[in-house]
Amino acid sequence: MKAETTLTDIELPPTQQAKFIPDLRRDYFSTTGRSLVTLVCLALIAYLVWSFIDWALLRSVWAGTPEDCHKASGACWAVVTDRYRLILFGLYPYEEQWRSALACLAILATVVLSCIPLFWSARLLPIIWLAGYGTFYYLMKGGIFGLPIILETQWGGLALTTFVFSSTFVIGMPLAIILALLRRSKLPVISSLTALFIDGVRSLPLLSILFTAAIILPFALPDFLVGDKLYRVILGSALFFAVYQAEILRSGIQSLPAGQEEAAAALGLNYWQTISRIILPQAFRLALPPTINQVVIAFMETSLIVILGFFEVTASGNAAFTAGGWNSFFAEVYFFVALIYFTFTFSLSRYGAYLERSLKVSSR
Amino acid sequence: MIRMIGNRRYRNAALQLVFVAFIITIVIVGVTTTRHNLQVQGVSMGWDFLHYSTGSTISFSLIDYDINSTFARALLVGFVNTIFLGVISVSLAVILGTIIGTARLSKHKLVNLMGATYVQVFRNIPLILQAFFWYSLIAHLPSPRSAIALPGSIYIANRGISFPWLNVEPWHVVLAAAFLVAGIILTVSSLRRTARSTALVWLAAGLICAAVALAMGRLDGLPLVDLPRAKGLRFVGGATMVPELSAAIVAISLFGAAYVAEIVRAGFLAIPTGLTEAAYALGLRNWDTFWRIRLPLMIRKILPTMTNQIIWLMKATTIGIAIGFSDYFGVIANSINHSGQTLTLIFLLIIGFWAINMSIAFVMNAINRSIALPGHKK
Repeated sequence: MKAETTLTDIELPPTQQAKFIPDLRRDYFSTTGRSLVTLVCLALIAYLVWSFIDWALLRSVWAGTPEDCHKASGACWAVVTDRYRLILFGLYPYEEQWRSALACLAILATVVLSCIPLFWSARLLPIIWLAGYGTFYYLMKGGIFGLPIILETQWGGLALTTFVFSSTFVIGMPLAIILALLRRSKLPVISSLTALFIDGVRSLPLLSILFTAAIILPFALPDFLVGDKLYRVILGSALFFAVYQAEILRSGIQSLPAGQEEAAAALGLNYWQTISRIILPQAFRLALPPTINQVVIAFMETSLIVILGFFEVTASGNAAFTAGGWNSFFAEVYFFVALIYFTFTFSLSRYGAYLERSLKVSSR
Repeated sequence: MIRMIGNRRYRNAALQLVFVAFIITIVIVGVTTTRHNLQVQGVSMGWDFLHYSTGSTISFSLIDYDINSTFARALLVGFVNTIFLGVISVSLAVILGTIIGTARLSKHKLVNLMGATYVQVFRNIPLILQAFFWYSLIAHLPSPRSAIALPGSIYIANRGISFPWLNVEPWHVVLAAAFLVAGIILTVSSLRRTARSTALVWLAAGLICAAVALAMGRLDGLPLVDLPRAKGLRFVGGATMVPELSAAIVAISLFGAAYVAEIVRAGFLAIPTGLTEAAYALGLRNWDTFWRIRLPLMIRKILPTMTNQIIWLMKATTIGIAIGFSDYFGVIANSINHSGQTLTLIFLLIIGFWAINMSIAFVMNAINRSIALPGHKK
C-alpha cells in the first residue's frame, strides 16, 4: 500500500467510466434481494419467451388441414393462412377483395398523413380526410367508373372495422367542435343544456348507445329518417366519440391564456375568425396527445358492434375458427386479430407519447 | 324590427329560444313516434309490465330467480350481477394495477420491462377480443373429471372455476364480509393517529363480529366449509363461478389493471423528488419511504383520475353480454325484446347507470375529503 496518491488513482466521474460488469453488478446483484429478483425475472422471461417461440414457431403448422394441426402440438397458423381473406374482408366478393385492401390502405395513408405536422392546418386536414374517406367509400361501394356496385351488407372484416372507425372520426370530430363551442357559449341556456347532454351521454356505456341506435331508434324516428342499421350505429359511435372529444377540446380551449381571445377582439376579429384562426388551432395543438388517445380508444371500441350482429374483424375472426373443424384453434385466430389491433393502436399511442414529450419541450 | 335584430340582448334571447324549441321538437317527435309505433304493435306504455313474468331464464343469478319471476325481479338480478361483476373486477384491477404501476418505476430494468410489456399488451387489444379469448380458453379446458386442481381444493374446468365455500346463510356471509371490511378500514384510518396496538383492536373487533355473524348463520348439520367434488360432468358442493362470469372477471380485471398501472405510475412520478429525498435524509429506509411517504402521497394524487377510471370500468362490464353474462344492460336488452317496453326500459337503463356512477363518485369524493392533507391544495 502506497501512501501518496498518483493521478491515476483518482476516480474519474462515473459518466466517463464505461464499465459494463461493475454497472451490471451494482444494478442487478448488489444485494441478495436484488439478485433474487433478477434471477426470478430472468427465469420468468426466459420461460415465457421460450414457450412462445416453441409454440408459435418450432412446433407450429403453417399450412394444411385441421388434421395436420391436431397431429402437431404447436400453433396452428394454417387456420390463419387458410382463412385470412375471410378475417380481413369478410363476405366481400372474392375477386373484388383487392378493392377492400386498397380502401383500407387509403385510410391508413390518411391517418399517417395527418400525423405529419406539415399538414396540420385548418384547411389541409379536412381535405386529406375527406379525400381519404371518399377514396375508401368509392373503392368499397363502386358503382361508377366500371367498378361493380357492392352493398354495405357485404362489407366485412377489417374493411368494415376501418369503415366504422373512419366514419366515426369524420362525423365525430366536427360534431365535437360544435359541442365544445356550444358548451363554451356565453348564453346560459345553450351552455347548460349542452353540458347536460354531454354529461348524460358520457355517463352511459357505449354499448347501450349503440344498442339504442341500432334497435330502438327505428321506433322513435319518422320512417323517412330511419336509414340503414349500419349508419345508425355509426352515428351512435360518432356521438359517443364527439362527447368525449368535446371535453378534450374544451380543456384545450380553457388552458389557453385569456389574452389570446382579448387580443383577437382588440384586433377587431369577429367570433368565427377568432374561433377558427386563433382559438381552435391552438386548442387542438394543446389537446393533441389526449385526442390521439381518444382516437385509439375509438378504434378499439369499434369491436363492440360485433354484439349487434355486424361482421367486423372480431366477428369474422370468430367465424374463421368456428367452421370447418378449426374449432380448437381459437387462440391462433385471436392472436392474428389482436396483432392487427395492436400494430395500429401501439404505433399511434407511441406517436402520441412522442408528441406529448416534444410539445412539452417546445412550450418550455 | 331591424333594431331588435341588431340589439345583442334580443338576439341572444331569440337564439336561446330557438335552441330550446329545437330540442323540445326533437324530444316530442321522438316520444310521439315511439308511442305511435308501439301502439301499432299493440304495446301500451307504462309500468304494469314490471309485474308480468318474463318467461325466460338467466344464466347466472345471485338472488332467487326462475322462469316465472317478474320483469322487476329480472332487472334486479341484472343490477346485482353488474354490481357483483364490477366490484370484483374493479378491486382486482386496482390491486394488480397498483403492483404493476409500482413495478414500472423500479430502477431494476427487468422488472420495469415486464411491467411495461404487460401494460402495452393489455391496453392495446380491445376488451371484447380479450373477453372472447378467455371465454374460448375456458370452454376448451378439460372437463370436470380431469379438471386442473390448484392447492386449496380449487378446480378449474370447462364448467367454470370451483372453490370451497361456507355452509352459511348467504346474507350472513355478506354481513361477515361487511364487518371485515369495516374492521380493516377502521384499522387503517386509526393507524395514522394512534399506536399500532390500539389500531389492532379494531381489526380484532371486526374479526370477532364476522366470526359471530358466520356462526349465527350456519346451516344445521353440515360442516362449516363445503369442498367441491367432481361428480360426472359437473362439480357438486362448494361454489362454482360459471364460465361467463369467470371470463368476464379475468378479462375486465386484466384490461383494467393496465390502465390503473399507468395512473399509478403517473401519480408516483408527480410526487416532488424533494419529498422523497427529505425522507432519505431523515434516515428512512427504502421500504418506509415507499410505505409512509410515496404511497400515501400517490393515493392522494390519483384519486380524481381513479374515480373516472373506476366509473369507466363499471361501464365496461356491459361487454359481459358478448359472452352471455346477464348484466343489467343484458337484462334490459332482453326485456325490450320480450316486452316491447322500449322507452320505459331505456329510462331504467339510464337511471341505473346514473345511480352507479353517482355512488362511485360519492364514495370516492368522501375518501378524497377524508384523506386530504390539511392546508394542501388537492
